[in-house]
Amino acid sequence: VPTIHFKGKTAVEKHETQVYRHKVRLITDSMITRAFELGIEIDELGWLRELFVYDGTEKFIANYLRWDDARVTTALLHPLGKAGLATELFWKLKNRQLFKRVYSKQIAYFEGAVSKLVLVKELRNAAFVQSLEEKIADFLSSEFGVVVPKHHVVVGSFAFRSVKEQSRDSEGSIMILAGEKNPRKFEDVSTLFRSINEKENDQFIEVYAPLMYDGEVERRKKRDKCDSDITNIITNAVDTQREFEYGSPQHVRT
Amino acid sequence: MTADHLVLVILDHAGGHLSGKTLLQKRAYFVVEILGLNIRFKAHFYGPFSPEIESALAQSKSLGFIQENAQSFGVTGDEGFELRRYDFSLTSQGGEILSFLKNQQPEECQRVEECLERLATAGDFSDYVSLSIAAKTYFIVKQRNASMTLEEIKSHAEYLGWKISAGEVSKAADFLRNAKLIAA
Repeated sequence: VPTIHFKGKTAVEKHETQVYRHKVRLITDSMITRAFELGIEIDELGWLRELFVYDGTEKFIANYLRWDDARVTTALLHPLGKAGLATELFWKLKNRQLFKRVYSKQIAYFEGAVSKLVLVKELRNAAFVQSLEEKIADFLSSEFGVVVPKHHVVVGSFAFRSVKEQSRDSEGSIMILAGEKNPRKFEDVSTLFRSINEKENDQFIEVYAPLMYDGEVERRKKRDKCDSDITNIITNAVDTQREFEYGSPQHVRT
Repeated sequence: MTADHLVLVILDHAGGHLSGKTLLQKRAYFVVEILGLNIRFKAHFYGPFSPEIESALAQSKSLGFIQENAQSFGVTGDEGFELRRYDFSLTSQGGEILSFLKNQQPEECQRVEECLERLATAGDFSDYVSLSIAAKTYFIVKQRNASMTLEEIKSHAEYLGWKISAGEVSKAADFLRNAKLIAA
C-alpha cells in the first residue's frame, strides 16, 4: 500500500490542484508540445526528430540522455539555420506572449450520450482534431478581424480525476504515517481533501489561441462569442463524423 | 471491444447495477482472457488489475453514463481501516450508449454476454473475494505457462504479495475448470 509521511501530505495536496490543473501550466504545455510538433513536421528539424521520435534503439536513448530542457530551449530560440515555426512559438513563450484559453467546456455538458462518446473518441484522432483547429482558426480570424494561423490554435482534451478519488489509488488508499500507532487513510487525514467533491471527475475540451483582449469587458464579450460559436463548430464536426461512421444520427438514436 | 464499452456491457449484464470495483475488475479480467481482448492487466493489491478499465470507469462516470455510490461499513480491526465499497449503476444515458453499441457491434456485445454467462455458470455468484482468488490463481498459472501444484501457486502468490490458502486455490481451480480456463 503506498504510504507517505505526514510531513509530505501538503505537497501531495498542492501538487495536483496548483500544478496539474493550473491554467497557465496547461497553456504553456500546449505551446511547448505544439512547437515540437511544428519543429518536426513543418520545420523538419532533424535534431528535434532524433530527440523526440522514439525508434526503440540504444542510440536514441544515448542521444536523449545528452539533452536537457535548457539545451532544447537554447537550440530552438537560437537556431543554427533559418528560424521556423517552432522558434516563433518558443520566442512567444520566452516573451510571455502566451495563448489564451478561448474555450473550455466539460464534455458531460454536450448534448446527446452518443455524441459525447463520439467526441471523446474523435479527440484521440489527430485528423479530426486538426480539422477542428482549422475551423476554429477560420472562425477566430473572421469574427475578430485578426489573422489566427491554424497552427496557433490548439484543441486539447483533459481528464481530471478527483484528487480525492486518486488518493484512493484505484483499489486502495494512500496511507499516512502520522506518528500514531496505525497508518490512516489520506482522505481521512487531509482537511483539504475531505472538502473536495469526490464526484469531481471532469473531462474537458479546451481551445487555446493567440487572442488579444482590450480590457475585461472585451474579454468577456469575446469569450461569450467563442463559447457559443465554438460549441457549434464542435457539435457540427461531431455530427458529421458520426454520420460518416455510423450513418445518420436519426437512424441510430435510440 | 474497448475498455469503456466492456465496462458498460458488464454492468448491463449484471442488471444495470454492480457492487464493488474489485468485482468489476475481476469480471473484466476473465472476459479479456477468454476473448483475447487487447486490454492489459497487472498484478495489484487484490489480484489482476487494469488501469485501462479503471480509466474507462472514470470516463464513463465523468460523461454521466455510470453513477457511483460509496457505501461505508464502518471501521475494522486494529489498523482502523474504514471499509468502503463503491457501487455502480448504469444511468439512462449509459443505457442509450448500450443500445447504440448493441446496434453497432451486435456480435461483439453478444460474445461478451456469452462469456459472462459462462462465468456465471462456472460459479461467479458476484462474490468478489472468490472471484478475486480465482483471478489471482489464473494470473499465476498463465504467467508460468506450465502446470503447477496448489502449493506452488500458493507460494508464487505470496511472492506477488497475495495471501491465499491452498484450500482457496483448490476452490478457485474448480471455478477455472468449470469455466474451461484450465484443463479438467
